[in-house]
This record gives sequence, C-alpha cells and structure tokens, in this order.
Amino acid sequence: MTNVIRLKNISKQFGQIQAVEDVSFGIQENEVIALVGDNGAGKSTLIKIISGVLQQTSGSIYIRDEEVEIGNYNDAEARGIETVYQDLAITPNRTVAQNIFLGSEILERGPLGRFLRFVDDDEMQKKAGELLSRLELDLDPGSAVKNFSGGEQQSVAIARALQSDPDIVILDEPTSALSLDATQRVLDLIKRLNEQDVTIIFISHNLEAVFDVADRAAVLASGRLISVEDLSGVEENELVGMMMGRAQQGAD
Amino acid sequence: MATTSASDIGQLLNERFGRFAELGLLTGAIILLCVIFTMTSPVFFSVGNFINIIRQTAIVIVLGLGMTYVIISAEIDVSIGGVMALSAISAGLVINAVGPVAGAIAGLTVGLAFGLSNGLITIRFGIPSFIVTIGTLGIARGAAFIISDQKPIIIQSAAFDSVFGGSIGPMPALVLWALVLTVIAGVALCRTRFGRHVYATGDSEQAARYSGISTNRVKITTLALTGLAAGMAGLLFIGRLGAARADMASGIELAVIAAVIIGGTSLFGGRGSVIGTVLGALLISIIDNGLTLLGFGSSWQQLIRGVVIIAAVALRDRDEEGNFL
Amino acid sequence: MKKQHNRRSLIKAIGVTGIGISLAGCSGNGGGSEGSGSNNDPLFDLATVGSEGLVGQGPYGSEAAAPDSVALSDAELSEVQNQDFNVEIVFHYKGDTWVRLQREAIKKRAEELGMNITGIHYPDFSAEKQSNILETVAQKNNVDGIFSIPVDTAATVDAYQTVLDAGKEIVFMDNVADGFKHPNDYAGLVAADNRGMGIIGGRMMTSLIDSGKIIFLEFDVPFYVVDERETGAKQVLEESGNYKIETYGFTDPGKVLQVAQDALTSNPDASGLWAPWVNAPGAQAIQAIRQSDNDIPVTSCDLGERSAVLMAEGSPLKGVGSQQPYAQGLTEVRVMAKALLGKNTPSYIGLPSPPVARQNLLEMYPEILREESPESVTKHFE
Repeated sequence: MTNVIRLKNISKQFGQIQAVEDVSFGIQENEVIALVGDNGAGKSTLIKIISGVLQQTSGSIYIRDEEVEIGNYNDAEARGIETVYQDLAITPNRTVAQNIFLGSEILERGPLGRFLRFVDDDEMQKKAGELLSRLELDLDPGSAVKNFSGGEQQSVAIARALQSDPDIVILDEPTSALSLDATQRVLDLIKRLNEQDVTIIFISHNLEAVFDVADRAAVLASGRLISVEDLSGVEENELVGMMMGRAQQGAD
Repeated sequence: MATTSASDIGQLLNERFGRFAELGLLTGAIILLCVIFTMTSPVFFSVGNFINIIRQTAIVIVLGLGMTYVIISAEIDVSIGGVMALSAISAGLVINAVGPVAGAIAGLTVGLAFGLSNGLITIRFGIPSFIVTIGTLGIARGAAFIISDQKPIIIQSAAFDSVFGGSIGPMPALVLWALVLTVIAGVALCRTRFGRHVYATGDSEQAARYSGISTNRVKITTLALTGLAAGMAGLLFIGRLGAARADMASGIELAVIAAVIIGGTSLFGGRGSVIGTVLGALLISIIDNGLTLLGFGSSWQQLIRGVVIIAAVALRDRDEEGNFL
Repeated sequence: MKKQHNRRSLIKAIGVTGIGISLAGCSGNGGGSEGSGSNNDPLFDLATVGSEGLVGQGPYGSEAAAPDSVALSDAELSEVQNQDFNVEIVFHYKGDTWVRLQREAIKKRAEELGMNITGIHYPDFSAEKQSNILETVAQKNNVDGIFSIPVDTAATVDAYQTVLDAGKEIVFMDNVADGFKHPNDYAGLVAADNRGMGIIGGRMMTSLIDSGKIIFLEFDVPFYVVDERETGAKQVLEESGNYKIETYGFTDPGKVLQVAQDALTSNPDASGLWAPWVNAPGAQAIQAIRQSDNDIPVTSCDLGERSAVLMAEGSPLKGVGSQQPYAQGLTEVRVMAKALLGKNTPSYIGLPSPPVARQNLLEMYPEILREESPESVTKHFE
C-alpha cells in the first residue's frame, strides 16, 4: 500500500517548547489511522501541521511521494486534505449551509459578469441539503448553527470538511464531547467514509473507539513517536502501556 | 424579572421569525412613534417634515454604513468624528484653492488614509481597535484644528454645494447620496463573498481563519471602509452647512454606534445588518424631530434616546452564554 | 506629540463652550484670598467712564438704536395681546447665566404681551444641531417668530433661510446670520454694546494709571463679540498715547494662567492688565498677578458672581463693563411684537454697557443678574 502522506523528521518548536520532535511515519492510502497519546504528546500540533494551520520548524511532508509545502488551509484543501477540529471552528450565527461552505462560497453569475458575483445562497442550500442527506443527517440547512445540539453541530463541521470531496479527512477528538449515541453515529460515519476510499486520520482518547474503527495507531508521547502499531496485533492495555510507559522513559 | 421576560419575548420572536424579528420590532417601534407624533403634532406627518428627518439623518446613516461593517467584524472605530472633521477641513481648503473635484478627492483620501492606518496599526501591532481609534481620534481632531487655524472654512464652490448640498426637485442631494450608498453597502454586505467573510470573521475568527479566510485582511478592509465613510460624511457635512469647522460632529461616534446597536448589530460581532442601522438611525432622528416639534428640548431627547438604547438591547435574544448581543 | 494634540483638541471643544460660559460671567465661587485691604473709596467717576450712548455699530455698519425706540403704544399692546402669537427660542447652548437671564426676560415679557413660548432649544453649541432644530421649527405652522443666536453665522445660513421662507419673523440675539438683510430677512438684531464694554475697561484703566505698560490679553479664536471688546479697549488706550500695549494671545479660555504668568515675567514693569472677560481668563490672570511681585490693577468685561466677588474682596480686579442680558431679552420681545404687528423696527438695537466697580456693585448686581447679591459678595461689605 502506498503512503498517501509521509512525514519525515517533522519537528515543531514554540519558543522554548518542543511540541513535536523528529516525527517520521507514513499514512497509508485508504486506511483509518488513529493518533493516540497522553495530553501534551503533540497530537494536535501534528495534525495542524498537516492541515496548514501551523508550519513545521523542520522536516518534510510528502504527499504521494511529492514533497509539499502546506502553508495554509487553501494549500491543504488543494491537496485534498480537510480537517475537523476539536472545537469545531464553526460560526454559530451563520446557517448550516453557510458554515458548510465557509471560505468556499459558491458564486452565481452576477450582473456584472466576472467583476461582481454574488453569493448563490440557493445553490449552497441545495448542495448542503444533498451533503447532509448523504451523511444521513436531518438538519435544516437554512437554520443557524447555534440552534442545534453539540452533536449536530459537529455533524455540520464534518459536513463542511466533506464538502470539497477530500481524499484525506483529519478529525481531532471527534467523539470526546458526544453522547454514546452520537459517538456511535460518528464512528459509523468514519467507517462509511473509509468504505468510500477516504483516508482517515483521527485523534482520540477513546481507545474503545480507536480499536473499533482504526486499522493502525501511531503512539506519541512528549512530542516523539513511540511506535506505529497494527491494531489487529496488539491489546488495549499494551497500547496504554506504550502511551505511558515509554513516556516515563522519554522523560529522562 | 423584567429583563428576563423582555429577552424571552425576543427569543420567542427570533425563533418564529428568525432574524427578521428584530427588524420587525424596530419597524413597529418607528411606526408607533410616527402615529404618536402625528397625533400630537399636526405637521409631523408631512412630506416636508419627512424629508427633513431623512436629510438630518443622512450623515449618521453614511457613517453607520461603515460602522456596521466594522462592528460586525468584531472591531470598532471611535475616530470617525475626528476623521470626518479633518476630511471636511482638507476638502474645504482644497476646494477653495483648487476646485470641487480635487477637494472631494482630497476629503475621501484623508478618510481612507486614516481608515487604513487604523486597520494596519490594529492588525500589525495587535492593539485593540478601540484603543487605536481613540488615539487617531485625537490626532485627526487636533490636526483639523491646527490646519484650519481654528477658523471655520467657508466653501466657495457653487458646484460642490449643489452636488452635495443641493436638491433634485424636492429630493435633497444628501438623501440621494445616503440612499445610493446604503444600497451599495447593504448589497455588498449581504450578497458578496467579502460580506460573508466579514460576518464570519466577527462570528468566530478562528473558524474563519481555519477555513482559509484572511481575517486580517477583512479587518483592515472594514476599518478602511469606515474611514472612507467618514471622509464621505465630511463631504456631505460641508455640502449641507456650506462651511467646515474643526469642532464639527463632536460626539457623533456615540450617536452612530447607538444607531448600529439599536439596529440589531451585536458589539461582539457576527450579527447585524445595514438596514437595521438605517432603521436605528431613523428611530433616533424621529424621536428628536418629534420632540422638537412638541417643544421639548435636548434634555428630553437625550433622556429618551438613552431609554431607547437600553430597551433595544433588553428586548434582544441572548446568546448561549446568556449575554445580550 | 500625540498627547498634546489630544488635549488641545479636547480643549478647543471645551474652549468654544467655555466662551459661552465665560461670556456671561457665570456663577462660580470666586476663589482666592482676601485682597490687601478692601477699598471702600470710589475709584472711578462712573459718569465719565461709561460710554456716552452706544458706540458699537451693527452689522453693515448700521447705527445703533436705543432700546426705548421700540416701545409699544397702548393700541399696539392690546392688539398683540389679542393675537395670541406663538414664538420659540433657539439658543446656542444651555449652560450659563446669559442664557438664563435671556430666557427669564423673554418669558416674562412674552407673558405680558400674551405671546406663547411653544419651545426653547439648546443645540449644545453645534452648528448642525442648531440647523436641524431650525429646519424642524420652520415646519411648525403655528409658530409666528423665533428668537435666536447663531452658533456659526456662516454654517447656519441655510437653516435660517428655511425659517425665513416659512414666513416667520426672526429676532437675532447678539449676532446675525451671514448675508441676512434688514428688514426683508430679519426683524431686528438686539445686542450688547460689546465695543462699549471694551471702552469702559480701557477708560477705567486710564483712570487708575496715567501711563505705562499694559498687558493686553487677546482671544485668538475669531468671535465677533470678543473682537468688538478688544477693539474698544485697545482704541481707548491707543488714543491716549500714554500707554504701551503688550499683547498676549490665548486660544483656551481655561488655560490663561500660564499665558499671564509668562506675560508678567516678561514685563516686570507692567502697570496694568486688561482681559476680554473675567471667567476664566481674567480670573486666572488675577491669580498670576497674586503669585507675582507685581500688584497691578485689572479691568475686564462681564458681571457675574465671580467678577463680583473679585471686585468686592479687593482683588486686582477693579472694574468691568457689563452686559445686560435681561434688558436685552425684554427688548427682543418688544421688537418681535412690533414685527408681528407689521410695524417697522430698527435693524440694530444696542444695549449700553454699564460700568461696574466695587463702588456700585451692590446696586448693580441685583439689577443686572436679577437676583439678590450672594453672601460671597456681601460679606466683604460688612
């Protein structure tokens, strides 16, 4: 299987703090890989580097064996990478449709042709509706996002990520704030997406969920990569041990 | 508690009618006031008086257009009075020395320059726009006094006077300008991508940034637009009064911000509309006009304006944290 | 640099308001300690110091008419009372003694003449607010005339024009809108004889000292009322030929102390000081004098509680030329009445400025300010 993303010696420093140190591993095409580790392990930082919000201090990123620079969101989107953040990053007073197309608003043919094009709300509403029903979500695309529950808002964030038809979807703690019911729905969604040939990277503390949907897990501790495990061949407690035991070793 | 039930009304209306609820309430208040004033003052309900009201509101409306953009993007600009004065003084001097067109360009350029500076300083140095614009207010106002030598500048261009202060038939030029600019500003905010980005930047800057929107550029632009609006307001002012005074429009920032807030824009950003601002400005003008017709002086006008501002916010929906918007 | 501009501009804004406050010599507690010995001897021959008749000219150089020239005959009186006219007052702003006295006078006389005051407006010294008010009042069909003092004679012209176009009579107080002509555009201007006020101050100074250097404080912001006073005072001093005038300008009426101190330091041989009004420029100059070694006399303009106390307690302030806002108001109503009846009115009526010094203070205070002399003044006469 090819590596759709390969990280080589990625390090990230914030002033004195070494958030990520010399991380190298590959993400295989069409797999579901989890990033696990204790707080402060560098998981969020790592995915922000991939999604373009942050830039690595040193190291390289390869996408399908081509070295790339991901300087901002647009670079990532152009490469087919979309991200759903832990705090969702949605605009509460805007509608579901507007959120789904945030930053990528569909323009209609305006009165002045190429010079002045208005936003096409009807088209966005329609497409949003289609996207939501494909995800089996029953939300009114014309309603403000703040009117929905936390779980529903997260669905909107996921829908936004899927709007550009990405190859790679990154999710940061997609289930931590959800009820059991909602958690199950998200996990089902991940599985469904994966069946449709989308590569999934997700961060989670919920090891049960990790074992449920992920193929592999990359274990991070104190900014370093401990190992990448094939989940069919490892037990949960072993994984925990790696997250913690090695962390103790890494500290000295 | 009174405020709780007031906000419950607001919430109820909001759920049933969406964002048109607030505007509906505002329009209703305006209609109610018109009815009351018509009953108490025979001349209130006349074409002449209505034209007066709109003409007297035109400058606040034009300033309000810029302010609406800025506040929706979660920034603020309190320098507009000073910038307006400096723009007007500059325009006046250039009109008298060179000509009306050069003067108009000079006025607008001053406004735009200050707006851009406000934006760049706020973004580059990370200083809150409130503080930056308090500073530029002083700079602009002081500069206005200095270059005008504390004397009023009387405009000596009939052409300028008729374009900005004249009339087409019964319709004052001021009203036409305000109308045209309102339509442009309103359509741009509502229907262009930039307008959407303004809303998004104010609603959740992080979300906007993560979605690839350059929120820095958005904020610099909205602050620049407000400066430009102040420049335009300066031109309209000297069109109306025929003279530029460095002490003009002092305190206008408060009136403009009040109009924007009454119109439904949230100081936290992310919510509001141009039409709301226009209605808010008209509400205040109607109150002033009606009270003046009745013989009530500025003290009553101030008092009632204060009550209206509080009422306008109290009847509003709260956000998730329980804050009034 | 930034801070200076900030303060200065704020001060300018306050300063313009400050003129209004100061010009009436408003009530404020007279500060300062007791002067060196209260002087009970009359300093001036008030008959000669006071200007004979009116000196200042109206706009366009028109001759001043006396207030009695608009007396109403009995027939006119009953006619006005029967007509039930409505009038409004549009001031420049609210906060001072001048406004209060004018308002009281107009109310009183209007009531006697059966006129209703349907509105009194205070535009906060803002030309645009005054324009708004004038335009709105112009709409009121039941209003027959307005009394008004323009905030800015150029910027408010269009607004006064709408009042005129609506067929209402305008009686101007103290100043006329630019370009307005009598009798077509306005019924009359009633103003204090500001030049006379300056002349009185100048003459008082010549009585006090025969010759020498006079520190002359001048207000640098162009304001017709003050300019007239400065012209009057300077005229007297220059005509006599015995005085050297050292002029010091100020733009902020509240920040004259520094200016006065500099003037006194630069002119240790000065013999006297003139200021265009007492509260606050004159009072601050007096403070500077008290701090210096040079105990020189001061003359100025405006009677109010502050100037009264300063004169009573024996401070350097020896005398002022006073306004008569109350008498002015009464006269304005008579002009309005005549105009509303369609009778001719003079274009400019000036009110003579009475000289006021310690010797006639207790008599003039109640007459000018329409209230009992306060404790702060009377205690110096016991």
